[in-house]
Amino acid sequence: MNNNYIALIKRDFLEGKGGYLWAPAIALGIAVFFSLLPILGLTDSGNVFVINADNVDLQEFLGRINEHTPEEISAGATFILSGFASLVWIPLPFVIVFTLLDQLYSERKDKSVLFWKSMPVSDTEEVLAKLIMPVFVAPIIYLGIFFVGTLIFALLLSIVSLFIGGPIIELWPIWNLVQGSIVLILTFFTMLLWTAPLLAWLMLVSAYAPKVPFIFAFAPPAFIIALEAIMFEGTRFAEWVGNRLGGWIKEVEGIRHYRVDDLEDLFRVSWDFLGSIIGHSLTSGSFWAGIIIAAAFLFGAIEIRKRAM
Amino acid sequence: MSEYVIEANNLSKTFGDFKALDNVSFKMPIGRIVGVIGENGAGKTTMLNAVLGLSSYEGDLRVNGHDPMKERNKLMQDVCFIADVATLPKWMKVSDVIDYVESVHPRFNRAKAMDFLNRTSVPLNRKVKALSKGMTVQVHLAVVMAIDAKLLVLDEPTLGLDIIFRKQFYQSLLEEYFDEERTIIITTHQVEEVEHILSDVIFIKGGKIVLEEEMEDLTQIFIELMVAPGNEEKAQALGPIRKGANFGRTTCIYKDVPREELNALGETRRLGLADIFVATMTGEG
Repeated sequence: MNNNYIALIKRDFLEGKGGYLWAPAIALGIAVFFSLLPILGLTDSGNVFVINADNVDLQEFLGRINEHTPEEISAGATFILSGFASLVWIPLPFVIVFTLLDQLYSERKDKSVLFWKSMPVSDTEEVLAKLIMPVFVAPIIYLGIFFVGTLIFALLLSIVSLFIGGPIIELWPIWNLVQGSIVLILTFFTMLLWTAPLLAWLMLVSAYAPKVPFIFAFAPPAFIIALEAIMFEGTRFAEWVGNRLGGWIKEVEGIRHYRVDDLEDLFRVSWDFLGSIIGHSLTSGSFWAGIIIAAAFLFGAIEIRKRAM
Repeated sequence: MSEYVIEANNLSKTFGDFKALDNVSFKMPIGRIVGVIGENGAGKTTMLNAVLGLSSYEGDLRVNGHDPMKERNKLMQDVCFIADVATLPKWMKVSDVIDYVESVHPRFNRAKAMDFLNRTSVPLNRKVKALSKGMTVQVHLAVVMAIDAKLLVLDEPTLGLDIIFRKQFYQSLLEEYFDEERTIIITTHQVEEVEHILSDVIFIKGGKIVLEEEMEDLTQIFIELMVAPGNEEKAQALGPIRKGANFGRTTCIYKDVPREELNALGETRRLGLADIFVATMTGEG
């Protein structure tokens, strides 16, 4: 990668440090804090840890832990640790949306665009860096903090386990966690690429909106949805947006037929799932149409920035 | 490479019906300090924005051999500018600004910038938004002076600063930055403060260049005459571009009238740039 991109991404990281670093770190802090309450006996139930419908609660898990094989314990621990640390991800969608919507607008508003433009950096580099930082670098930072989070929870669980005579080694399923992280981030990026036209739209709006980019971003699609509903009694545009936001997964072949008989199967299934969604996406016309629309919006954002003052 | 850093032919820019720049042609040689002077809305900033690749234009424009709009990023290796508003990113620390410029600008000399900053009281770890206006300008000047550029454009660089800062600003530019390899373009309302450092001036009015001269020639071209009593009619006959009264005596400003002719009619004086500007803008000249 060209040197300018590294400098630009570093700059944008500094500007958005609150969302890129502090938000997930604080989310992790909150998760750790609330998990400490039951461990320290401050609440009477471990139910904070109920994960989905599986009702794997901490006391039950640790209490019956010796009935399971080490492989099962590792798999279960991966699941539980990831569940604890998953709070870290909550700020990310907000950070991505608001950063994309804000960057090209606020540099015009505070006139710093004139300073950036006094440097030998092209508008293409500027706009692409402002896409890469929140959309591709931020999730990797979040992943790092998520991973650290799982290790912190592994440490907490180990301490608890030590007291009740449970296993220790199996509570550190590092390889499972690494696999889980890889599947997670690649799934996330696949989903993100489906939303590419929506994300690029935010950048285009940020580049041209004379004020309140939020309204300029959300009013036109809302208007189209309303107009379509009234004039044609249709919902195609809304469906298209929904499809971009994750609805496309329904169309992935065979995805409903996964059976998970035990936790170990989860990894086989999740790799399989990842392969399916990537394969589906790369061969989907709709996916590529979205990428082309996104490229057109980005091109628009770059051209507008060339004229921005 | 041409000996001119800027060559503009028939440069125009319209906003709707308004001609902000109307078929302007000019050349700026290397090694000059050019003052671009005009009233608000005369087209100064429009002209500079075209030169800096910040806005589109019609006509032919070459800046250091580049088409500014198409190749702004290449152009900015040899061109620096300080816009008429504070543009340093407010969220950045001073040290972040220096780090950033160092990482993207191949002609930036960090040691020079630090040397300049160390002679000021600007705290490096302070954010730009927490700096005074004067300090912000000092940081920007430190950045600009540490870049080995061929053309520096300053659009109202000292606006809102107190007089000591303004004096220091131009002094630093002249003593530590300017040489015969560089050209500096300055626009300002405070004409008196820059006139002693300018080598050339351009007056702009209504999107057109009304005057383009070297400073040395300018003081020969424009002469003020305090008319001796009884000579008023003769003075009028020579076609002053502007008339006034001072201490009960008539004063006339002439353009392109030989000094010897005027000396016979009274006392002649050298005109300041501000007076020449006013005479040109309000008179027939």
